[in-house]
Amino acid sequence: MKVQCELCPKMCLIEQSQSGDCRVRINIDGVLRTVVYGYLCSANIDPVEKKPLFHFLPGTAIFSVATVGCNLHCKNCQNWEISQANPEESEAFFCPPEKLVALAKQRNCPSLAYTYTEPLVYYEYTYDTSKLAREAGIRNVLVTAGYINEEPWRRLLKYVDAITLDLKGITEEFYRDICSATLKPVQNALVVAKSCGVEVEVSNLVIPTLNDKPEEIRELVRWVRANLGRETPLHFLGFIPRYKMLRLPPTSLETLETARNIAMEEGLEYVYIGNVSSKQGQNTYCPGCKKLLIERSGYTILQNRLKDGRCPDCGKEIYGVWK
Amino acid sequence: MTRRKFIKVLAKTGAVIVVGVSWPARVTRKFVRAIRLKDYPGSVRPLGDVSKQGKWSG
Repeated sequence: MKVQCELCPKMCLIEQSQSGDCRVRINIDGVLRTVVYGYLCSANIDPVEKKPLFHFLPGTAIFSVATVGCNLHCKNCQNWEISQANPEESEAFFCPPEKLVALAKQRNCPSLAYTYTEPLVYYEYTYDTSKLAREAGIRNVLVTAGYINEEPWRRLLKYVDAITLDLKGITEEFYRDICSATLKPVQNALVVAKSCGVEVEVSNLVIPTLNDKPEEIRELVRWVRANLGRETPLHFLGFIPRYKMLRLPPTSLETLETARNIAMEEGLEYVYIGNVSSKQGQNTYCPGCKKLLIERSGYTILQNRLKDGRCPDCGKEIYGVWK
Repeated sequence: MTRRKFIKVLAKTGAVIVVGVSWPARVTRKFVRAIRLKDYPGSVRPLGDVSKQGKWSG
């Protein structure tokens, strides 16, 4: 008997003993099974800034985990060795939700990140762990491409404190040709997350010749402003040649600065540059008085002048989770 | 009942039986939440040093 997985917009119809497009949800005797529940291919303590997440508990450590698998197949994937791996060819260690929460507590991490691959394909583990972590006073962060159906997304968001969502482009063509996905569900996931009160940050990997045209950047920025609000942090990330895109050059600092300038012209309040060293592009400035609020160098916080989530000079409330 | 009518009724009844019997086999079961598979199909190793910063992006 076939089964249909209704977790993501791909709605895979899966034959007996086969997996869906994500490789980790399989049909065994007419029942949908998750192969990777609790089997982590990576667990590390990272600075929260690495996600990237700049408006969420700055300077803290975040316990970051992943299983193999992804429902997108981006030709430029930076982590393709694990995101595009088959479970049967991978190495993992078993860490059930209660053990993961205990580990995060033991290491004094105030938050957990479900990251590196796609946390939505190991949905059941993400959900169960997030619920337990919330009960234990640990925050939950998703680093995701946001390719999920609305009903399971809303159910999961009840336990999520922040997301960094990678909005990969602003055209259906880009999503279809580069990522094997579609744009609309991702936009919907962003809007739903914001409306649920989750702290939302958006990242966009700028790939030379593919999505770096100023008019495309402007369209993306306008969409963010109109649908998520001008306070939503936006990170323009530099592309590094990987996986099936080895022939394109890395993104130049100039291109990233142009993107940042466009976003600021359009009125976005917090625009950052990542993967490339940029002095101004990594700091947080007050949108009211323009004074420096958080100074960063790489993933290190050099100074944080925020007082109770407000600018110490003009008193403006700064979007984010600060304590 | 004429022979022609009888054959018609017989064919209709046969079709209903065939469709009825094959229906459960054709139905697709739908899931949002998957059930955990106990055994990992790949290799299982012990937990490594988690204190190091991850080598992966994100």
